[in-house]
Parts: sequence; structure tokens; C-alpha cells
Amino acid sequence: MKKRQQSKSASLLQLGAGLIGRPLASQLAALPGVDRARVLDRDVFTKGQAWEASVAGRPKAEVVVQIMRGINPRLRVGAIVGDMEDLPLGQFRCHILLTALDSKRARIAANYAFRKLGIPYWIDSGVSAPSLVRVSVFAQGKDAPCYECGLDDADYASEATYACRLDSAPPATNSPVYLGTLASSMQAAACAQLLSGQFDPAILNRELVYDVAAQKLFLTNLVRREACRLDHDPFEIRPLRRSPERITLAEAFALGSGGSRAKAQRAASLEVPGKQFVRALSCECGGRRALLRLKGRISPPAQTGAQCGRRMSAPGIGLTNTLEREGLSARDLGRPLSALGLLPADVIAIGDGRRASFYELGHS
Amino acid sequence: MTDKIFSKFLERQREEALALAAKSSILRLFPGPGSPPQQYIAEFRCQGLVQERNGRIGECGLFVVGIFLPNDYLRRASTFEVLTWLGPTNVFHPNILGQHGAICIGRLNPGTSLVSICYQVFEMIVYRTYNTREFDSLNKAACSWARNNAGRLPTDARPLQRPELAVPPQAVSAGGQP
Repeated sequence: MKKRQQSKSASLLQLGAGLIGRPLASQLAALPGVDRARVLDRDVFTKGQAWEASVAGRPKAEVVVQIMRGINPRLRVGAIVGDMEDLPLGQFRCHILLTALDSKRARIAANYAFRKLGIPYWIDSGVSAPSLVRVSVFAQGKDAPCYECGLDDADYASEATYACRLDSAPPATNSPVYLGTLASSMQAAACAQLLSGQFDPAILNRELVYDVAAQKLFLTNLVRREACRLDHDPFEIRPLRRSPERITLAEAFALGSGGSRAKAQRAASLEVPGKQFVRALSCECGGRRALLRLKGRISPPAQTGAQCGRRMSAPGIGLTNTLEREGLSARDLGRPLSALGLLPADVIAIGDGRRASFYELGHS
Repeated sequence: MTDKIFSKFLERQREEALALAAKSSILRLFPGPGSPPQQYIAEFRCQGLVQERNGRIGECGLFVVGIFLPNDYLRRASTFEVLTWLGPTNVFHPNILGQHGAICIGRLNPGTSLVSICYQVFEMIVYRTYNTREFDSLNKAACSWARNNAGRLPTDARPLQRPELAVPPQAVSAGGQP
């Protein structure tokens, strides 16, 4: 049994407020030791999902947070309505990350934030109709496994979609409600153990699968895989006191120099880890538009074709992960990072060709 | 590049793909900026089809595709993000929408090698592989045309990589004496 001091001010981040996430949030709100909880989900409750008329059409995250507030008025809660892949990396910071997601792709994105920010614990859950419930607890450590350590080539391939239609969308999950509720309870129990500070270390980096139909429990110790596709090293992120409105691209490049003029010459690239910049949009009608902005942070009008009114998309050649200083105009270098779609809590990486320095943008 | 694993992957892709281009009379590959590069321009000098202004289907000998391997390419891949059709815009193919810059080689697994992508794009351009189902075709007219003209396809029978010489090079350099 591991004895640690009970956390008195833990912050939780819950990703997903659907089948598992809705009952999970209610249980988390009642746990001792939680000071702050945030819930993220991009969807709204449909008529079929709504348990009362007033809920239909409202964002899941907002409804769930309202329920949490009703259960525990002292808890500081926040709803984030949006896509987790568009969320600034710094906004994932928490003591315990809880995920109730419906795809490997979303879990891979959560895994990235978990490892790169060094979030102490991550409790992931999932259900698989007709009868399987899974809860995995991940913890940091030199040789600790990550979610992607458990994936092989076939798992990555299964996420690939046959995408010859420009507007393909993932199918909805159709698992029974009782599986979601069971998964959420197992997840909340694991969270309570971690918050208490008293738990058997064996629960860490372990996966628990319960087969409801066979009434059997399976435990698997998760192990690090050398061939894991994720670079496990966390980012060493330094906080910046400046918000994206108050720092220009040129000033951001200069951050990599640490005041040295020689190094400033080498600070040649800027990345927003986990995100892409859009340099051009194109439309089925043949229309083109040049811009420089983060993907997922482009306003709908800026993404609408001027002539045909259809939604423009970024072709691969119009995307880039890295801005090279040499390729930017003086006008671009003078633009504040906010003009490129960067938000407070976004993390930027300034590279000099050999190494990168990481900074988290501030709020003021 | 902030990811050591992906950086090594990119280095390997550059090495292998440039080696393929060196052995090909059809493929020319131009790496983009950055080290290792994440973007390439691939030129295919082969016979494929275009639709002329009068609607006639004609032949063309040069096709250009942009290739982008994004930072999360080892875990997520979208055909439309990885590949951009650059020209000619009047290309006539069920899997290519030239004006929009869209080319679909079907299901693209994360981490698919650059060499494999080059092969798949080439085989598509010369109609060795193409979509025969109009409901998910990018160019329905080309899909219908290809079904009705299957006997005229493929448009280019050459392999992407030149066949190796049957005689070992050292035998030749030794004055023809075995």
C-alpha cells in the first residue's frame, strides 16, 4: 500500500461527456480532495440522448458542468466546448486526466498531452459492445508505458478511414448505457484511490477489463515498448508572461536565443507542437486563398469560398508544422502570435536546427 | 523538429525515396525546406489522361503531386492532407479532382513509407489502380469512362523503377571477361 499525503487541491480534466463522461462527471463532483474540475466535449445532446427537453441541443460539457455544480457548489468547475485537438496544450495541465472518449485517435491526442506535459496520472476508460468495460491507469516514470506502447501497426491501420469523400465523418458508437455507467464508476473509484494518496502502486500502469456477460475480470500490466511511435520525453516548458497579443513572431523567434545574438541567428524555426499552420485554402470550385493561421483556429467566414460560398479546406501542400524564419516576410514577422490564431496556454517550440526551447504563452 | 522518433523516420523516407527516384526514369523528387524535409514535390513523367476544353480525352506526359508528412503522420494519416494534386488541373481520373488539388489513393495507413506513396500515386496516374465506384469517386465522369474503356488501360506500361541490368556491373568493367 502506497501512502502519500492526500491531495487537498487536485485539479481534474475530463475529456468526453457522453456515454461514460456524463455519469463520470457526477461521481467526480462528489469526490473529496478535488478543488477544480473541467470538462471538455465538442458535441451537443441530441433529442435522442436528452433525458429532458431542456437539455436537447445544449453543449454536453455545459450541461454536465451544471450538474457537477449542483452536486458540489464549492467545486470550481469549467466547461470547454470544442475539439480537444484544437485545445492549447497548456490547457491540458491537471493532476489527474480522465478520458471517456470514443476513438483511438482522440486517445492518442490525450496520450500526447499526458506525456509531453508530464501530467502525473491518466485514467482512461472505454466500452466495447456487447459486454466489455475497460479502465487503464497510466502514471509517469522513466520506463513507464504510454497508451501508444499498446498499439501495433494493425491498431494504427484500423484508425485509417477510406476517405475518398471530402466530407467523411466517423460513425457513432452504440453501446448500452449500463456499460458506460459501469466504466464511469470503475474510473471514479480509481480516481478516488489516487486522490486519497493511499493505494497499491500495482494499480498504476495497469489495465482492467471486465466482461459483463461472462462476469470475468482481466488484469494486464502495461509495459513500455521500445518500438513505441511516441517520443516519450516530456517538453521542458518555460512559462511566458506575455499573451499572444503581446508578442510578435519576430520576438518569438528571438526567445530561442536566450539573449545571445549568435544564437538568435540560429533560432530559425517555430512550431506549435501537435498543431499545424495553414498557408493556403482551396475550394472545390477552384478558388484559392492564401493565409497564415493555425488549423482549427480559422473563423468560418475566412474559410468560406468568396465565389461559391462553400467551405474551403487546406490541401496538404498548404499545411506546415514548422514556420521557418527565412521564409517569412517582414510583415508576417511583425504580426502578433494572436493574428496567427495562437491562444493563451499554447506552447511554442523555437528551434535552432539542433534543439528546441519550449514556452507556454501567458494570459496577460 | 521536436520529435526524435519522427525525425529518424523522415531521414529514412528521404534516403529511400531519393534512391528510388535515382533508379527511375519516371519519378523526379524535390525535397522541400527543413532538415529532414517534411514536404516533397513529386514529378511523374508518364502517360496519363487529361480532359481538354472541348471535352475530348487526351494524353499528357507530366503530372505533379505535393506530398506532406505532418508531425503526427506516424499515428494519423489523411490522404487529402498528405497528398495535393498540383497539376495538370484538367487531369481526367476517378480519384483526382484537379481543380481542388485533391487526390485520393484510398486508405492510407499512418506511417506509410514515402516510397510506397510514390508507387501508389504512379499506379493511379497510369490507371493501374482506380476507383470504379461512382458513389465515392472524385470525378464521376472519369469513373464511368474508365469502366467503359478498360481495354485502353493502363495508359503507361513501364515500371516506376528501371529494371536492373541482367549482367552484373563488375563483369562489364572487367573488359567483358567473366
